[in-house]
Amino acid sequence: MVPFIKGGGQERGLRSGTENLAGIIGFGKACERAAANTVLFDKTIRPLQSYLEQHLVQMGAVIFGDQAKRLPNTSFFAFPRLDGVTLLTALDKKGFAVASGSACSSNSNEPSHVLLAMGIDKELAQGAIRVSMGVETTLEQVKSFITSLKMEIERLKQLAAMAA
Amino acid sequence: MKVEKMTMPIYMDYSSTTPVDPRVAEKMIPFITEDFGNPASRSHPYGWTAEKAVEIARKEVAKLVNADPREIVWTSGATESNNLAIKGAGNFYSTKGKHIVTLATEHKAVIDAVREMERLGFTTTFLQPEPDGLVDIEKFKAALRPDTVLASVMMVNNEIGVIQDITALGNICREQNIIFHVDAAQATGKVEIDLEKLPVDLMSFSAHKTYGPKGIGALYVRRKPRIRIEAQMHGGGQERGMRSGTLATHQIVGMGEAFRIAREEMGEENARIKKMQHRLYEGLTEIDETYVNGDLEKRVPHNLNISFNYVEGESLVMAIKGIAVSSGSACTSASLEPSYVLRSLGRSDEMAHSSIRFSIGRFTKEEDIDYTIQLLKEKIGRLRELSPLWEMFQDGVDIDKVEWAAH
Ligand SMILES: Cc1ncc(COP(=O)(O)O)c(C=O)c1O
Repeated sequence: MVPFIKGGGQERGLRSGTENLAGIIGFGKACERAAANTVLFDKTIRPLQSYLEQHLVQMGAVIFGDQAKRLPNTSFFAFPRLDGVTLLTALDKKGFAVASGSACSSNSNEPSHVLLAMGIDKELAQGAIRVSMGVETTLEQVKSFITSLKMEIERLKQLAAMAA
Repeated sequence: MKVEKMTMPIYMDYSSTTPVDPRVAEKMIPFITEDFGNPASRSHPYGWTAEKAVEIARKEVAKLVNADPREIVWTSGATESNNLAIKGAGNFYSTKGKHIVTLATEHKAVIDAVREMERLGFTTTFLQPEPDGLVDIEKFKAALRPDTVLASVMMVNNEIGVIQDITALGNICREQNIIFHVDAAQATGKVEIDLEKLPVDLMSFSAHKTYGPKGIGALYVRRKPRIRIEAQMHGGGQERGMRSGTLATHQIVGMGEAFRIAREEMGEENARIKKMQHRLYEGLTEIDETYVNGDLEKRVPHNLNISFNYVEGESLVMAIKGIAVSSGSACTSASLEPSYVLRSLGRSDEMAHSSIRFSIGRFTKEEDIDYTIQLLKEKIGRLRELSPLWEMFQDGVDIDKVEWAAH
């Protein structure tokens, strides 16, 4: 590899610059814990994901990549004919921090390029919501999320019906 | 692996890095544990809180150097800033010309980035400074050519602490429509920087030289007249596309707080450090045959770089383990090459090898200075007692004229 940032020659010359010492120690410790907890992570979160997705499907959601091997903590889904941003805003008001896709591209209102590349219809992709959980997420939180989501979807459907 | 705690020597190496000010560390912690959001997340308060903190920090960094916050681009440190400035501006404006001027005494991050531009077809001039470490303005002017597109000169040298005349150099670049980049990694908090007045287009900063954390820095990119750079890091489009990558909120908050403290306290602090520098200078120059490297006046108060003649460099470093100092720059001190900066000033290899960079700062105490003087006096005395060269010098033999027998 040709080094990309040159200078003091740190990292055997492959990446110069004074090392982010605290960050590196933190990364090391995080990896150590991750290595020890990978199985636990799967065991605790997979059931939450199944529970969440069962309800999402009942509510009429399309879950992206549901047939593929996936991480246990991430559910990316959309409700046909429901706008993602509207839903996100409503969920935020109810106290749920979820996203419409990756944070790096959350600046734009374009649908996720990943979904489009998967061949998902543009209109459906526009409604995408990403829920990603961690080891601290509880079943109570997931249940409460489902309840709020149900209420919001009903409300948005009623609004749409009135407008029609 | 556990690193055993040892009795630590007195820290006299502030130019390598500074401790994080406890006030800075305290401010950073909540952004690691509680307010951990991604500043680019737009759909919830975790993201908004982080973004707000990032923008407050951006204002603080801008304020220290009297710039517009929109002119500050976050990077991982001065190394990246230097690479981004030189490659980014060099490539963007390459149709205007392909010649770059810089100094032989720049930090490696500038030198190697400029060398990289040679690989891309640029020609370069590495100017030698005068024996006092300062570049001669006329020589600088003479080095510029019609195809010169970029000049890069550091504000404060990391080894000898000399301060270049950035205003004069920048004015010459302005007249000739040449982009002017300044590596100010060693200058923040030590020298007044007013980018509204300074004729500088791009300026590099690093947090950890000014009591902030390592691994965070910034590049100043002038808006009026607007300077354009080609991004070197592509991706999520953060920092208006000039530098992609998730922003390190806690690091940025740390840099902002460090630069705020610098702005508020640098007047008083530099006066105090200057007194200690003077005390150190007075004490160490009582030792015979000591030579200060770099101009004494046009120099930051934090640095004193001295060559001790007639002592052998490595034994000197071994003998003064009670203090933590550098011989040459920390980046290259693992190698036994004499410092290229001191060689550029015209120092012999021996004098370069027997040089010590003392750099002091916010937490240096007067006792530390007195201890250092005592230590150097004692150890140099002892080393010289063992040195035949010193004995000859004492006897009045001109060592340079001695004809050594061939073995
Ligand atoms: C003048 C100068 N420029 C650039 C750098 C590089 O800074 P960093 O290692 O934080 O990227 C340093 C310090 O190492 C320096 O002293």
